[in-house]
Amino acid sequence: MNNKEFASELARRIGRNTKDTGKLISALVSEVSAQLSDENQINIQGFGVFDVKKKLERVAVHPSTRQRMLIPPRMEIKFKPSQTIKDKLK
Amino acid sequence: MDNKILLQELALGLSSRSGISKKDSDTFVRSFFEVIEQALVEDKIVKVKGLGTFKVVEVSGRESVDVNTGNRIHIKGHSKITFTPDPLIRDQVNRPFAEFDTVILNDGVDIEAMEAISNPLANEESVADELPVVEKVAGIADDSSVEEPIVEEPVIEKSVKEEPIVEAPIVEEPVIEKPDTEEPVVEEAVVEEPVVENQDIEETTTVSSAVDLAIEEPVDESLKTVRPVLGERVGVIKSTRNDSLETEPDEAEQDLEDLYRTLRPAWAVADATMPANIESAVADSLSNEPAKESLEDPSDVSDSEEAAPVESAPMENVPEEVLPEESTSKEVAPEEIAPVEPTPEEIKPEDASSEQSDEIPSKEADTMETTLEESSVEIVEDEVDSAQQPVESECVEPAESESVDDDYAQEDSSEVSDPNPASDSDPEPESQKEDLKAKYKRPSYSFRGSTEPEVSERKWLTTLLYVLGLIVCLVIGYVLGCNHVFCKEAPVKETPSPVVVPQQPLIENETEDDIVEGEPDPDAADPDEIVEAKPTYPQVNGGEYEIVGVKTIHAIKKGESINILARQYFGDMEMNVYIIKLNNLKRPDLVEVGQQIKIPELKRK
Repeated sequence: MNNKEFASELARRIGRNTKDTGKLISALVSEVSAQLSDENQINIQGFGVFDVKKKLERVAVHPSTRQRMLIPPRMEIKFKPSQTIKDKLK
Repeated sequence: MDNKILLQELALGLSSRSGISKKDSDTFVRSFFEVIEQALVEDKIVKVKGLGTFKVVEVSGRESVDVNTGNRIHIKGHSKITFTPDPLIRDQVNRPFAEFDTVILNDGVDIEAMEAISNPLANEESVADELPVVEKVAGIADDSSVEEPIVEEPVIEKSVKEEPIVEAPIVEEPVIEKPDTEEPVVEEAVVEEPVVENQDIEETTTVSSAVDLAIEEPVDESLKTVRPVLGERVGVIKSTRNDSLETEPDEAEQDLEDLYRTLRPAWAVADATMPANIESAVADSLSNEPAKESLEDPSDVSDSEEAAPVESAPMENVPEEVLPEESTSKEVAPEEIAPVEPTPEEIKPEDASSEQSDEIPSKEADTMETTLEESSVEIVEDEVDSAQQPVESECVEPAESESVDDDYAQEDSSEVSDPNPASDSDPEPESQKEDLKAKYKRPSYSFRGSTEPEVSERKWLTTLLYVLGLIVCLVIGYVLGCNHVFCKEAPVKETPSPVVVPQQPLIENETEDDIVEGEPDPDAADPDEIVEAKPTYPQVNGGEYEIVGVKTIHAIKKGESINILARQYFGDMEMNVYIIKLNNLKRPDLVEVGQQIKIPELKRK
């Protein structure tokens, strides 16, 4: 399901038009993004947890050139699905 | 920060952002995730713009071990949900580390140190953790393609608590100012002002204190606090610069005084016809400041040409006997200026101190300017610090050459008045001048290779050294080359050598007939041959065996090592030294599969 389909399905569900839903989606995404940038964890019951984890810097070796590179530390978003949704898939 | 946000909170945030009611936004958020769930079940993939992509991935079953019991277990195939964030949100979250980039490491970097430090932190992955401290700069800093902040950041990361450490070196200074990973802006600002060394220590404490505050604050606020600090820092820089400029003019006059006094004795070459004023002034200054002389030998001063032409025209009025006695006319100018000074002042021995400063009229200041150029030259030689400031004052007070003529005209009149004191002071200035000359010859900024014989001697020595070094290098190269692989052909494998060898007697016979009457010397190296007739092998020092040839060439198989080969061919692992020597292995423990190893033919000594 791509973005458009998702938006239209969501619009259908909540009873608004697609355009408004699109705006709402963007607003929600911004909210999520802001919360994650503040290093907060977002826990959606029955769905999963969005977490921000810090990855330390590491030394990587380029396989062909054998050059050693230092990859800087990063903050990454991790999603951990909840048991409910995992069961739904099975 | 480090909070758990629930759906309700998310809905609240959404309602405030979008303006819909809390109830509606709550419904919306719930529906949002339900749709995703449903879509995952149905389509296995859902893409939400701005957020990311949820995918269902099938994992096949695998054999494994039960962690508790240790029994073998079959893990069934199952599906798992993966989430790949959109670049937008990914970058947003990674903002603290946004400036970082991967850096190519040079070989000198010590990795173990990094890993040792990072290991205790590996368990905690929350953001507030201290960053690993990587202290080694040398290797990484060589990469010129990487920007300065990026190089420093991954390399030198101090933990948040370590900020107050104030260190002078510039390299670490920007890091100190940005100890917290939440302030990428600081890095850029710091890069822009790399040269502020003097104010560093004051400012780092200011910044670090500001940063201390910033640590506890969330990212946005910390950035805000940083900016005013930077502004303050900039302000500090500017103010100090202005100060330094402003102080100069104030001190300039005083320094002009000092300079003036130093200049005076320069033209101590006494001339009977020279106006007494000049000479008395010379005597005075000489007696007071024999040590201050840098004016000594004008021939040694190279930069006096500027002053010379200026002075040369008005010099005509000056007694011409002065000119031939000195190599350049430059010195005359200061001499002329000197008499100006005595006229307003009493001709008495003066202290080296600056009591004259009050009495100098403005015209002297003018004359001073013209002499500044020469004085600047002399200052270079002079070790008196105060003398340096007049150089700067040149910028502040541009020399007015128009006043030169007037000044000289005035000096002429004053020169005539006192001829008598001159004669007495002549011998003194002479001898003192000699001393000064001697001193001048020990300059702090002397032209390298100051005297002729020294120069040629040194050059000769250096060229000799170079030639010797070159010869040594050539010899070493030759010796090494002799032992090079290419020179030593294994008799077993080489196809060229069988071709060459049979030719050898043919060639040799021919040449022998022509050149040498004796028997052909099989040991003589034939220039036509690539391979030496009797190749020499590297020998193991102190070894009981001599390497006389190559027995065979062994290709390494998997699991084999040099030691194993030694045992295989010689019955003893200790014999590996011969194998290593023959093959010139730098890392005998790092042989590769398929590598051709020459097995030496050994002969007991």
